Amino acid sequence: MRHLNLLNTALNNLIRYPVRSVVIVVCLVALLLPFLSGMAVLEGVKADSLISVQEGADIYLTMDMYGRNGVIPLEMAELVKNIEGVVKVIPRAISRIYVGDRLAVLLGIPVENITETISFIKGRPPMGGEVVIGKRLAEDLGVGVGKSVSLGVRIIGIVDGVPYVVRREFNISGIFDARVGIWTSNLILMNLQDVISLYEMEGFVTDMAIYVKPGYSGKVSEELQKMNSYFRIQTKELVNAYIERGFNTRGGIFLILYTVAFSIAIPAIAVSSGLGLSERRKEIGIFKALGWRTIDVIEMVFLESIFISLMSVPITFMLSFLWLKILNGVFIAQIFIPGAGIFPPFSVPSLFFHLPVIMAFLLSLVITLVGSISTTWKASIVPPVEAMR
Amino acid sequence: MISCHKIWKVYNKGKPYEVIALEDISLLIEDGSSVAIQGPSGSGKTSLLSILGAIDRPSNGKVFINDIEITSLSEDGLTNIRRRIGFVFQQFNLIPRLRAWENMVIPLIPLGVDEKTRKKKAFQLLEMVGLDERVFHRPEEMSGGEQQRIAIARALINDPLILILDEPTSNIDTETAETILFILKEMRSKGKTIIISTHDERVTGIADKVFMLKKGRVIG
Repeated sequence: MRHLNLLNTALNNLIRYPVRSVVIVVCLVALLLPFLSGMAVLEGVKADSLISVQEGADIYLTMDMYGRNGVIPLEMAELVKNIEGVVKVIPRAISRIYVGDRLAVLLGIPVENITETISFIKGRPPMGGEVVIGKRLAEDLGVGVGKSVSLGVRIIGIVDGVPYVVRREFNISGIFDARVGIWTSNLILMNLQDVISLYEMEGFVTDMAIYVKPGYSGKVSEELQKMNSYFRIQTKELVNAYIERGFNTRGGIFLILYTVAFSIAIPAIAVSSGLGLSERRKEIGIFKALGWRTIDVIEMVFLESIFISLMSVPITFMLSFLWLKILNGVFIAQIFIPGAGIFPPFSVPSLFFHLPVIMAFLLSLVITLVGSISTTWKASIVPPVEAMR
Repeated sequence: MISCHKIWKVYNKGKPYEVIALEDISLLIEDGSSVAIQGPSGSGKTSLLSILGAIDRPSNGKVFINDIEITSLSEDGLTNIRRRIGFVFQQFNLIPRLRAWENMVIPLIPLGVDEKTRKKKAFQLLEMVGLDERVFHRPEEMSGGEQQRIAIARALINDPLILILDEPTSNIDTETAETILFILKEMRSKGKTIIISTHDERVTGIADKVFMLKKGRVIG
């Protein structure tokens, strides 16, 4: 019954001091909102990446060049097709490219594979000298089907301190729907042969996407390695592991940075939670004089902190949900998705997991406790007369 | 029985503005007796009552309540003593945001008394002090005399063995003072030990013993 009484008193205290309670909750929400939203975007992007990998090829094949991924002869595609278990091989040429000032991804694949990769809104697949681009990119550039676009292919030198970029004009043959995924928003698709010619890499592609029968991934990888020891083979499992590790590291760094920010914010919260501190101190003195033990006072303040945290976290969760789902992660998405910009041109993926929510609760609890327990403790251990003074 | 031996209370000790509030005070208060402490302002009455009420510690000397030396007790030990004492502060010390009955039941909260019982006790005592119409009023909505009676009712809520009142009739009207005197007589007849600091002759009139304080010393 004693605990229940203290619980009741704690809850009533929050109601009796509405300004103090609201200020603390607002401070906590302001601190927790970027954290919870950031973690949700991070998880969303991670999940999106994993789905993309899952829906993509089973094996990505490149060749070792100076210890990195290098180009691979196009003729290898025929040899790879003959390996038992291989269903399909798509040679690809991928590069970064400038469209005006905007950096985009250029993907060259055989024209028959283009139609199965994207859904057209307008136009048709590209023929020689043509490209297809995403709807949002087309809107940003103010171009459409039948118009031309200038692509900065590569830097060939520095003129007057400015990189000189070789540009080529291409006609736009089609527009595809690129609003749905973060990976397609900056994508420009071209016929494989055109990209090879553009980069003057006749007979070579950057990689090959290999699709295999279920259960053949390991066996095909072994065969590929036997075929050429310079092959760099990335299976779906390996790519998944890279993604997991990459995002977990990024999440960990974000968490550490946030903890640092939190520890800096603690004094600010301490000041906020100390609103009406002299009034509070006097109250504690009265409680002590009337037969409360120090532990009773501490328990009551601890319960107040729990209530404050319990109020802050759902509010933060709702605001975070609105920020990501309604405002599409404006401002925050660019931290986790390079090139997303302030107003992301695609639907920002986000996933709310229980762990960040629990962490947000614990962080807010730590902050409110640090802000309140020490002042309460100081007021509790002195003779009541002193605290009441 | 309450006794104190060679009590000193020094504020800001060792500092240029050091104040000696109590100096070598020794006194004995029998169980069930009523004691009045008289003296001019600044004579140390409140300091002495705070020490006897276990809400302050002396700078030197020993205080015994029922043979327990309270000066050497821990904070929690002192809490157990405070729970047997009803203290009425000179400034009432009611919490402004709490209603009359809520102020009164503060001592019962950590004792695990359920809300229904707390309310019942509070309402009974409010009736006793003639404030049953002020149950849901906040201190700022009440007169000084009414606040004083709430403070007395709060001191009685635990049914304490010892009642300490710091100038209970100062700054209140005659009618309220009469009510308080009546309550004190009632408490006395119930065998409670009563210690009161006062200037009021009517209050000293109900005391078995009167101590005179001047400049922190007992002079009579």
